[in-house]
Amino acid sequence: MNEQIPTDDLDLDLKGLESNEPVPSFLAVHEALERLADFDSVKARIVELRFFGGLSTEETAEVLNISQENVLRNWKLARTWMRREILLAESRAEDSLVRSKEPQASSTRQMTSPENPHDTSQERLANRAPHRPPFNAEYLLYFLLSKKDRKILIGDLIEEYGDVLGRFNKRRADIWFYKQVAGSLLPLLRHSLLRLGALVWLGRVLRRLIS
Amino acid sequence: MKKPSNYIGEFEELVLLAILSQGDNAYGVTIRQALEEATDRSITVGSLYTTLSRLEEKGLVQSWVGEPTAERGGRAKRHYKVKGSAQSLLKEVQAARQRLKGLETVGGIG
Repeated sequence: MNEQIPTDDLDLDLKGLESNEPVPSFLAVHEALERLADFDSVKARIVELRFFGGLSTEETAEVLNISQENVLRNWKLARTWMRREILLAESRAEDSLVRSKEPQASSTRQMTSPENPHDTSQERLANRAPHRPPFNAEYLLYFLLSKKDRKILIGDLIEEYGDVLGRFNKRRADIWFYKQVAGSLLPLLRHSLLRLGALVWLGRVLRRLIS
Repeated sequence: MKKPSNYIGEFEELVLLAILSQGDNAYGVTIRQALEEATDRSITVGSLYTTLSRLEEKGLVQSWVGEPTAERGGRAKRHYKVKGSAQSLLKEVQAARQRLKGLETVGGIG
């Protein structure tokens, strides 16, 4: 296939729905992403990588080992869904402020999936099984590792995160993940600096030999 | 006295032994878990992979990338295997440790 994959705007462009809508808060986007992850972990991952990680379509496809067309298709669906969810959440927040004294008729919340907006399921809420590690910790590793190494290392972390999650709960799994990333920063930094130091030293030696 | 071809530190030695203990299933997760179980201390993936990288540069281990799996978010795993030269080096290190233990007893320290 020789045709160029169209690059999509990286920005979620959530304020594009109405021109006088304020830009949603980071928290609102984060919460919508959490809800998306309940239904579709692939779309949620694409949003994380593209919106929060700043990766291109090509890089996202490489990380997830899927085609660029797949990334673009899922990105567009996820973006549309998240726009709607953020607006709904914000209007619910406003309503709850107004009706704070009224008894709640129902504590249920209608959740929809990106592909089927009319599909609602309370079981999805009750059986939340998020198996995605905290993405903010994961992104730290993106700065410290080469592309080749980070896929392997992050894969290990995700695999073990799933184990810990299965044995205990999400909070414990998240703590384990944060500890692993925090404990890995210094050795990885030291390793990178040593390599850099070795390159600098080699450069100086070569310069002396040449001059 | 015959010197080993490469010097390896304590943690490098433990990593080599952990790889050997896992046989054909030696990759990051299994090596790290084996080390934690054996040493009863927390081992981070960062410290493990920097050590594995050093061992590979020294020519003591070889690695290859396996198939991606869904449980790893579509990422592949890197398998490790200890080379023959490393196995003989490990034996030398352990023999040296035994000799030193004997000296300790002779010297009346132990």
